[in-house]
Amino acid sequence: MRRNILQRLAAAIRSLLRRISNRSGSWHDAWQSLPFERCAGELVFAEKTFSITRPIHLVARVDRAYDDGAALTLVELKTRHRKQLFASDIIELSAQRLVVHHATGRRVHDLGYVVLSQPHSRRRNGHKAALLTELDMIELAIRRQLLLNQALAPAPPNSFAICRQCEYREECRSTFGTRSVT
Amino acid sequence: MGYCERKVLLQHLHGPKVAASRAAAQQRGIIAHQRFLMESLRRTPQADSDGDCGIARLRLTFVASRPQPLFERLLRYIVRWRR
Repeated sequence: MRRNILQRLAAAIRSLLRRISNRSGSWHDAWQSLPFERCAGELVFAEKTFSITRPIHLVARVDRAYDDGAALTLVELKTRHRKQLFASDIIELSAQRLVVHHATGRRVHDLGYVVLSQPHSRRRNGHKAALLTELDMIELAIRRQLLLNQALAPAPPNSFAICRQCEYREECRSTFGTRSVT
Repeated sequence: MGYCERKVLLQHLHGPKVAASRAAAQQRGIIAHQRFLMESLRRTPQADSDGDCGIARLRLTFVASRPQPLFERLLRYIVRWRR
């Protein structure tokens, strides 16, 4: 008897959840859509990986790319508490731009968007980012290779606040001695 | 560069190292990307995509459409109560 009631209750809850889920899909999408998406054009790539070997060897995964007819607009999603763009976001998006341009042969806009999503509330904000040129990206890749070959001395970070969260603090102190925040 | 060059070199010399907090953040990022992909494909099913990880998708079919964390707490409570 009790088991029967529980089963019926479970079925009722399941049906209710299905209805909520179906309804919240469109509601959630509408809530999450960002202003720039309305004029960015048609979504053509979603979580798509591209790779190139020239001008540099590079693999990048594009979160979203919109086509407005003239060029593609790239969108990168980041999950973080702070509503702040970092230089690494711009480098990442610029790398994607280089890869998409060479892999597809299509023009990509100089401006991209970084969508910052709050981890808990999941509220999103779109931030416009001016992307680096192809030459800048090649320079960066060469500099990285020189660093890895130890032909260049690595520069310390601009802000030592990032040292507090760094996993390599011990190694940094033993290799470079000074300027690592404890 | 836009990040610590020392870290780039140390990562190369000592291999990747991920702190627990960063691993948790990465996990959150994976889930958020999965949700982002599902939204994209729901809006534009013809968009070109590599697809996604099946396990994450299974988890997300349940989680993605929730409007509030409160909803998840309520579900957990119901599941526990049923046991």
